[in-house]
Amino acid sequence: MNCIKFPKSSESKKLANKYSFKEWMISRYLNFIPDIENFLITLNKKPTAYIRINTLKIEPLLLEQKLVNKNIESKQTISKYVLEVTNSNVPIGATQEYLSGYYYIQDLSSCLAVESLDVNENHLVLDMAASPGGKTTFLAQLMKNNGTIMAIEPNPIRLERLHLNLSRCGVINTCIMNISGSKIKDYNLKFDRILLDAPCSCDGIIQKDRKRKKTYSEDIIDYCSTNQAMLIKDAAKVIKPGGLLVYSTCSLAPEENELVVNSLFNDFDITLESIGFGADGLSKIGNMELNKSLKNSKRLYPHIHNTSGFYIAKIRVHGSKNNAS
Amino acid sequence: MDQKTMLRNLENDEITRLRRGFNYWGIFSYFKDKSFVLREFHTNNEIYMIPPNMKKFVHLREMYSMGIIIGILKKNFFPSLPFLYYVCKYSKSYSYVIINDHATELFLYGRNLFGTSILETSNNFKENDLVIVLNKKLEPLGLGITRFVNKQIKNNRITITNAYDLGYYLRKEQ
Repeated sequence: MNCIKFPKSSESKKLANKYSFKEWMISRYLNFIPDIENFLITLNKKPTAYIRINTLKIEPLLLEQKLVNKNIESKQTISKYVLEVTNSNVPIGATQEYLSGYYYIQDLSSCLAVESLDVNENHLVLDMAASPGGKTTFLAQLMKNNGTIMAIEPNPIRLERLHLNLSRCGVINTCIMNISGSKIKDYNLKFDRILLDAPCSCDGIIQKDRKRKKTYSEDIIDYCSTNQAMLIKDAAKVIKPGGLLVYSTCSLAPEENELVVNSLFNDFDITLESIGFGADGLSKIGNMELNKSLKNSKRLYPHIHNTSGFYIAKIRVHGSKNNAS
Repeated sequence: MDQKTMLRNLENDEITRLRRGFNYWGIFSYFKDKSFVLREFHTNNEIYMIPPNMKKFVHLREMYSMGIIIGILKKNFFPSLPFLYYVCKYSKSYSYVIINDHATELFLYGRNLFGTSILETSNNFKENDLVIVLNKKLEPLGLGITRFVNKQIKNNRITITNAYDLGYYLRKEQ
């Protein structure tokens, strides 16, 4: 899928200079990000830290007490499992509580994507591109370590990290497979739920990783969106009729989000279900009209929702059209 | 895959050795009705506990791991970090030492334990035994190997060698 070209303007030039961004990025953002100046200011600030309580290992109240004892201040969020860390004198990734698997350092946005999948304790769930395992361990938690999760990860180097995190968090109900998403259809398995947190250009996490500001390019958007369009079709082929597929990325590029989901309408009978948080997904990009129901997908913005930049689509797959599967 | 991984069901003699290990840690009855698979990984035979409904996936190609690792099976059973949680939660008789807060921090950095940092011990271990190292809240921090018998374990010298600790998760990440 080709990166859409948006015309540069005097405003894009001004903002690019003021906030040290490439001008082509700003000219894009001007077309789909609300309140852009505030957005750019936020990207230059320290991101909000969140932790997800791992109820497989500890009761929430007990963990909150332990955090207080360590002088880690936190507050509740819209997810009952996620705390925002408001002040801490110790690195939250090196406490004994972290090592014991009592919590996982995870952005609120990615937890909301997992919660959108509506898993239960009997489901067979596929987690595509699973490493490092934040979403996998949360799925296991929501399933109370019952049912089965197939976590697939094609990169052998990333497998061990996934394995370690599952072990640290006390996850039992998960198989790890060293395959790519395109291979899963060869196993003749059909899943109740699929989480596809697709590899992306990651411009939604520039706050956390400032290198992304420099490495972000049109080529990366082209490469990622092409790969994502294939992965989402691979996912739709192995879901049970009526099953749920949650597609998410930490990118704000419509080519990696709405356009990828829009491409599914050609081959599959799908409906997009609404999600109770975030800004509406785009159903029009420049002059391009997309399926109207894409408004039901959601965008999370750092300056509005206090999370990473994120996209979530909750897709009910009723079946395939023609010979897609 | 660039590393040889194979999962399979356990042989009878492997089940016997595994049960002997559970017995040693006082946790035989908890694991009695659980399901296990063995993963041949490099030269290790790793034991994983799996939910019964997962058994049907054991022979799938490219399976890397299933369930949770509870230890390594050689001649004897050597417990993993996750296994220690089950012992602390369900066993009534196991070897342990409880250490003070300062020693807790050092132990998590991979350091050995001085006898003077040990607050309390079980009374059932000898030299070269495996003991679970606990903090004051009785949470497992890792596994130690005793250098002395029980009554000499609080002497003012290194009395327990760090076999592994929770800091392993962090060190491996880096």
